[in-house]
Amino acid sequence: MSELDRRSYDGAGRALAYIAASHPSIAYRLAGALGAFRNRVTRRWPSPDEMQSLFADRDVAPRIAALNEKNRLLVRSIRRHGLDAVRPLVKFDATFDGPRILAMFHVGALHAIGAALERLGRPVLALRAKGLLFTPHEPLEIAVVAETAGSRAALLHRALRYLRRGGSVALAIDEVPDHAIETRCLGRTLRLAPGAFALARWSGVPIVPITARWVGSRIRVDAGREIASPDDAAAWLEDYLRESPSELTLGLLRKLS
Amino acid sequence: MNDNITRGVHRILGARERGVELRDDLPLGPNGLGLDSIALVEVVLECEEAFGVTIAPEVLALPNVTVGQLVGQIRGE
Repeated sequence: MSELDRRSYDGAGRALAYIAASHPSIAYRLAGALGAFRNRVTRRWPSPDEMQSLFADRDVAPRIAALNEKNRLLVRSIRRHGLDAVRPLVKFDATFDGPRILAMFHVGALHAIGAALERLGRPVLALRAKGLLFTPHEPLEIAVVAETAGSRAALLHRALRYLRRGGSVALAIDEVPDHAIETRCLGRTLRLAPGAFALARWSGVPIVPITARWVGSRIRVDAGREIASPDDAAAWLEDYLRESPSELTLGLLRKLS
Repeated sequence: MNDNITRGVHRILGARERGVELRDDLPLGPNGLGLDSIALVEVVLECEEAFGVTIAPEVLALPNVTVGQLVGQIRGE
């Protein structure tokens, strides 16, 4: 792709962010089409060969590229319009009878999960590795994970108290800040952060995976079965991706080594 | 400093890091005992249980929190 093509492509993505709030159906469908088109032209991000090695299916590459372009637009839209632009798109029906550790992976429309967490009806503390994308509404609270082991420990300690008071905690478990637990997923190594599993051990609160899946230009958020261990988490993720390979994000692909 | 709290904290830390000379100015994390984030929380939880106190999470966020600072927090200093 030439520099001119790249600029045009990025310009189109930015233009879609302008209309993502007012015309989400058009904007997200165009973004998906743009991503798939780019993949067919460049045969990269992701490459059909790599998808063949992971899923024995070359044709999934444009679908993954489409999803990733929708996700890029989602992030741009949240940055530009806040979570207000996303809340109407999100469907979430799950209910929990007590606190949960909500384990997120870099699959599907991860950044839309905040809109679902607001509807849980109980306090939720979300731990995020990078800066805030939006200002959360109660009962959702977001804390940014810091660089140092001490700051991360302080945040884990705070999350444990949150769980013990009956709140839930949400965190991406494939985001690895310091030491990691190595698991296998799709025949590759996947490093998982130990924090969620330690919180479960200390609190007795179960871990459940939570995912956001694009359905056209809307997003359905679902909770999965309870996860017992890091290997179980990797197995659950593999099952999820084998059933819906187009939910793989480039972010997760980079984590699979 | 050779009181029950200090001895108790040393016992908890010593069970993890045998053979290390525990001084008040020894950091719990990098450049000291080298405890990672999970181990730091576990030490705090053990201290809370052993001494019946609540330790503020912010203590762990102090830059290079030391053995002495942890003891001080338990004492309520």
